[in-house]
Amino acid sequence: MITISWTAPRTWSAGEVVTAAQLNQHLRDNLNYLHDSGAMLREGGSTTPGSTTSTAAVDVVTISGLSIAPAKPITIIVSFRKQTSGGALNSAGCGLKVDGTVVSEATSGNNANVGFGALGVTATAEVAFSQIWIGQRATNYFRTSFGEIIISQPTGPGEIRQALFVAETANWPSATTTAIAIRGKTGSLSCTLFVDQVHIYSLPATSL
Amino acid sequence: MAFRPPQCSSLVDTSVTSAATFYNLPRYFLYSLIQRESSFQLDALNTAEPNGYGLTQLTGVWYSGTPYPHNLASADNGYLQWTYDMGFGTFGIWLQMSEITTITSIYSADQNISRFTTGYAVRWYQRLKNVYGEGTTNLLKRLAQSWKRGLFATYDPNHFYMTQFNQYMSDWQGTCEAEDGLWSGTPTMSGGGSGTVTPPPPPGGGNPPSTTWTTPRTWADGEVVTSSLFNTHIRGNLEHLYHTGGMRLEGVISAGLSTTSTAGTDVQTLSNLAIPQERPIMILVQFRKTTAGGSLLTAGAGLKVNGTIVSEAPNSNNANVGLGAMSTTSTAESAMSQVWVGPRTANHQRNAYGEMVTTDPSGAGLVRQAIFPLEDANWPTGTTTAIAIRGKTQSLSATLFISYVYVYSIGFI
Repeated sequence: MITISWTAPRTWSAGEVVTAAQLNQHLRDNLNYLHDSGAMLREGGSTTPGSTTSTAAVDVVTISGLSIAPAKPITIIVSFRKQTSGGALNSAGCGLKVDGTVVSEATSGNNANVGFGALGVTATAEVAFSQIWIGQRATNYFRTSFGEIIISQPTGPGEIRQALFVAETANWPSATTTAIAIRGKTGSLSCTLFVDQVHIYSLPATSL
Repeated sequence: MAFRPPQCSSLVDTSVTSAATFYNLPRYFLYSLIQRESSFQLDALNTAEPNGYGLTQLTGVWYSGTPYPHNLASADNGYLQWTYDMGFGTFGIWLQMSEITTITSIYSADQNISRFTTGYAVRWYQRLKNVYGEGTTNLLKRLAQSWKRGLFATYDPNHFYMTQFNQYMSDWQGTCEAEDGLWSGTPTMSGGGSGTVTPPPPPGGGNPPSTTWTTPRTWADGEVVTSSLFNTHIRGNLEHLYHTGGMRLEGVISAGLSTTSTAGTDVQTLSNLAIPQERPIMILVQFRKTTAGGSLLTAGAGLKVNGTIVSEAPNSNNANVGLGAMSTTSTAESAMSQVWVGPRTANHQRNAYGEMVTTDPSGAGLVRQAIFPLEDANWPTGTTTAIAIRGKTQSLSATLFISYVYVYSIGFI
């Protein structure tokens, strides 16, 4: 349990002399409470699209400078899409690399359900939204994570909704997470994968 | 975590607690009266004439008038109709209008309770004490009944209103006294200044939450900060963040406990929670099994809330109820389940869903599936105070570990 409790903020009166004790209780402690127990913090992300036509998995977008303790659950949302110039093998998908370890490699298999998932092998443009959740990274639990992907036409109805295995290739590293890369791979050079947005959040986890 | 009645939200409780402290009234009395009058509904409205408003059901313009009784713009201790309403001719002048707090919003928890307290409860209790000299509990019962039936009614301990009121007092007095100590029996109008005719300020702290965010002020060197600025930019914004902001960690367990029981049992328990029924809840649980070989080796997890098993732990192959179960294989497996529960209001006490993934502890994923978290019973209404993670194995050769549990609530205003 959180050991610093919430104090209903003081109603200040005209002319009163504000004391250090009041500021410490009503400002410092309440701000600490909101920061440590009340916040789903955005740890980092990218709104600058990255793209690739590579048929081998590569890092498309990298978010570094993170500092997420292993006890903090993490959720990541990724918006990605493909454009094609026609032809076959036009899928594209996204994977996940954490602190240099590819925990789930990107795949271009038709509607693959690992990592952040993959789009369909179609000649049409498709967009996808994936969300993954990772629990505490500790012994026996370096793979416990899950996700979902929704695939739709860029301005049309949904096509695929499915669950994802997130950490399919390797364990999530045990140390503090400092960098997350979104991996990408296409089925052919006539397909371009765009990773448009990435948002990484941590959930509060520890007592003060 | 201080006690509060199940139907009392944290918001209302803040106002009740603040008013109880400020006016030196026992919390159990305010809880009992508000429960009886409005079931803690801020916007309770009784349309029978004269209308009753809000938490304490301020009834009649002599109690509910804004900003002063009879909608007077300023206090008038000699306002004739009010002196009749207050029975000064019969009881003597037991109250001054100038002592009464003003109202701008009758459904505000703070203002409603303050008007009840300053416009009636403190002074009427003092009068009852002088006249009857009874113990505090009896006097509080008289106080409640006069509020219900009017100042001129003869006290009837068997009046129907008292049945439930007395039950609430009986249920909550001991708990509150254990936390607050015995009540002194000396309510005051202004935090200790009994007899003052200065209108007391509203109780500190018990403010209705700000529902809007104010862009925080950029403070300038040398400026004289005012109470208004502090109340808007500090108090209001803090309240806004507290009530609406993000996901609040309500409890966490990071010490694994285990069971080999083939009957459902509590494995991990988070107690001392205080999650209002309006706040959605999200629970993350990481659990696993190890086996000594053989077959029939699944294990699963369920949920118990405030003593009610809302979904018993399953122990069949990859079951999808509660928090789910792992497979019957002889190999170790790890699992992570996530459950979302909406506001636990009437008709919506089963509104929940979840997901579960099982994996090889250091290998590939095995099963992904949706789960029904509330398969056996409704999530209890009122405040959620305790959540237990249930566990069950299929045979004594399997051991279930409940390793990590996170309980979050989500802003709701």
